[in-house]
Amino acid sequence: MSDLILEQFTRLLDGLDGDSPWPQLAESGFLDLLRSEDDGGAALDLEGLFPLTLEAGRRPTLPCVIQTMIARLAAPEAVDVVDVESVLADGGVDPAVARALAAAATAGLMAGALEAIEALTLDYAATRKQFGREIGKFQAIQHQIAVMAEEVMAARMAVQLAFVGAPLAMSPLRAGVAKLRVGEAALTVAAIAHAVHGAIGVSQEHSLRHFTGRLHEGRLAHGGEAAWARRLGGWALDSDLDAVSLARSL
Amino acid sequence: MLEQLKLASIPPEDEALREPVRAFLAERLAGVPSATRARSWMGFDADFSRALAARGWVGLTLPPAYGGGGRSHFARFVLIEELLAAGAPVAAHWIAERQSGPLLLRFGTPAQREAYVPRICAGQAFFCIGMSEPDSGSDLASVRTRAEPTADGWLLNGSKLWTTYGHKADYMIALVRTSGGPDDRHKGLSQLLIDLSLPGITARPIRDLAGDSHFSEVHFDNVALGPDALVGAEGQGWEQVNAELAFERSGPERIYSSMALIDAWLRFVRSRGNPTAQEAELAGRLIGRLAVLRNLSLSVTALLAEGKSPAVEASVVKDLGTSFEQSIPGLVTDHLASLEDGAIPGDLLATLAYVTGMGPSFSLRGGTREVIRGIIARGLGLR
Ligand SMILES: Cc1cc2nc3c(=O)[nH]c(=O)nc-3n(C[C@H](O)[C@H](O)[C@H](O)COP(=O)(O)OP(=O)(O)OC[C@H]3O[C@@H](n4cnc5c(N)ncnc54)[C@H](O)[C@@H]3O)c2cc1C
Repeated sequence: MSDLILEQFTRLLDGLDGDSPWPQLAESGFLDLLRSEDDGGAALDLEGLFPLTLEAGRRPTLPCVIQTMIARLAAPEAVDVVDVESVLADGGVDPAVARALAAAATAGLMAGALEAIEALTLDYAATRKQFGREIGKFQAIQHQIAVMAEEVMAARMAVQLAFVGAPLAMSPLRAGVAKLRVGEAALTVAAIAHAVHGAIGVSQEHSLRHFTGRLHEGRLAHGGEAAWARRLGGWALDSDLDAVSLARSL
Repeated sequence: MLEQLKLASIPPEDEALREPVRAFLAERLAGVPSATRARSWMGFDADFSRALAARGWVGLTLPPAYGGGGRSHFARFVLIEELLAAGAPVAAHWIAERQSGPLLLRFGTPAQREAYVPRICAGQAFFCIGMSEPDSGSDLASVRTRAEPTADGWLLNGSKLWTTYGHKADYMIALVRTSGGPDDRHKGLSQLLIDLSLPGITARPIRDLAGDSHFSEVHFDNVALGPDALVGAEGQGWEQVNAELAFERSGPERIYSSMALIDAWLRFVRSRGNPTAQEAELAGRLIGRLAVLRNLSLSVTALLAEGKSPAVEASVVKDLGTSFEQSIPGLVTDHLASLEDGAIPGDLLATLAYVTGMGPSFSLRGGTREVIRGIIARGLGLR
């Protein structure tokens, strides 16, 4: 079921009219997927939204489909939603939940971008030659890309941890972990990706800039690492649990 | 790209193990200072290991036919998580149950399995690992310790170094050369099971920078071994050692080495009251990173439970985990050094001193960071 949805979603995104995507998106029914079945949706839960969010994040440019899907939980006719947090809050959703959902969605899109960056970087390292061999054969490059792969894996796991259950029941603490950990990964991965790509990576025509640009914007949106860490830490210090129990009970 | 790790959860019957383990540890470790707890898998306490074994908690995943618990990898995850979170002294049985037992079950003869595995599960046979030597660290295939075949077994000569509890263990499983020469590299290496009480063996403890003696140098001077000392096939040592290292690298032990320090720091900050924004931020970053690591480790456990051998994914968790563990003393020092008032408890300072000093070892034991990153790069297709 979820594989089928992902396949259809991917095909929809592939076939979008870049200048005017919204009629097509509204027509597809995807924008209402999270809404209840009574409201014409499919009551998709966050586990189901997770692969779609990563898929959206892996694209260099894209209308804000995921944000709009979430916004429609509170604003049924919404299209082209950039700031899902305020649309949700204006629509009567608890502001804390609105922020958590917006932060988690941003983290999910960033995790998709991180995966795309890893793929671009692996590909570049295997094709670009200097000193008579692929740059990926140099140990210094290999180790940097290993670190990148680790961070991408951690970021993806952090998002998975938040994408659990019904959207409006999003746990702010788990959303915080996602936004915090993905933001940390974003800094490291963007720096390594640009280092490995050399000059071509900072050119206008190369797609890397779309992804790394999105990572830096994402770190600024809906609460950054420090803000979410303070929230999490406040909870941790209020409790009397040990660190492992805290991590378990999130 | 690597395997995409899926969020995994611990089945209720395995999660149920947590409470009895916690209760046992709370009683057994009452009053143990944080600085001692920080030693955890460097702490050798045979009585403690036997008390665990009496409850069936040594060899939890090994087959019941050999005295093991026959439990799942998730049950082991719960047990190890609690042992390490509490800073229990697990070193005595640790290597035997994590590596030697599974290795013997996989490559040993029926007689070897029957002779050692039930004793491992009972906490009656402690093992050490003889891989590193004075001139062979990361380049393990260059080992020089040599066993020559004789009419009735093997004659062993050479030295092992950095052997954790080589001076206290009953047995060593060593990687040695049994044929060919150094140029043959991975060929001609074998694993031997050595009874450390035999004549010709001397084991001397080496002190670490904190003053503890966990590792040692072990010398073999014409040690006569029986034919049954060979584990697995002659010349297959390299393949066997790599299978063994995969057991070593995949558990939750690679993320929890600094827990005693985090817990001591949390208690201190809580005791001061009214946490500052910086304190909350640091606590949040640590718990957030830990939660992600724990779930990564749990999904590697799920792959093990499915019968896969997620060597590369386990290496990812090891590198992330040891980097996390190693970052803690620096972060805690920064915070403590920023305080302008109030005394810092002695036990917190002692724990900090220990973890600061020994922190670098977290990414050495079990393969250095550079070796681990090389494994990941190979998994990514770069080499
Ligand atoms: C606490 C502790 C317990 C231990 N317990 C045991 C034990 O029980 N049994 C046992 O056999 N061993 C044990 N060891 C030894 C451990 O396995 C070795 O320390 C480790 O394999 C590294 O070897 P080395 O220390 O000789 O360092 P070296 O291999 O000399 O490495 C020094 C530095 O060079 C780097 N380096 C080496 N080769 C390369 C390369 N090709 N590319 C890039 N960088 C490279 C390393 O990464 C490292 O940074 C233990 C070590 C510690 C710290």
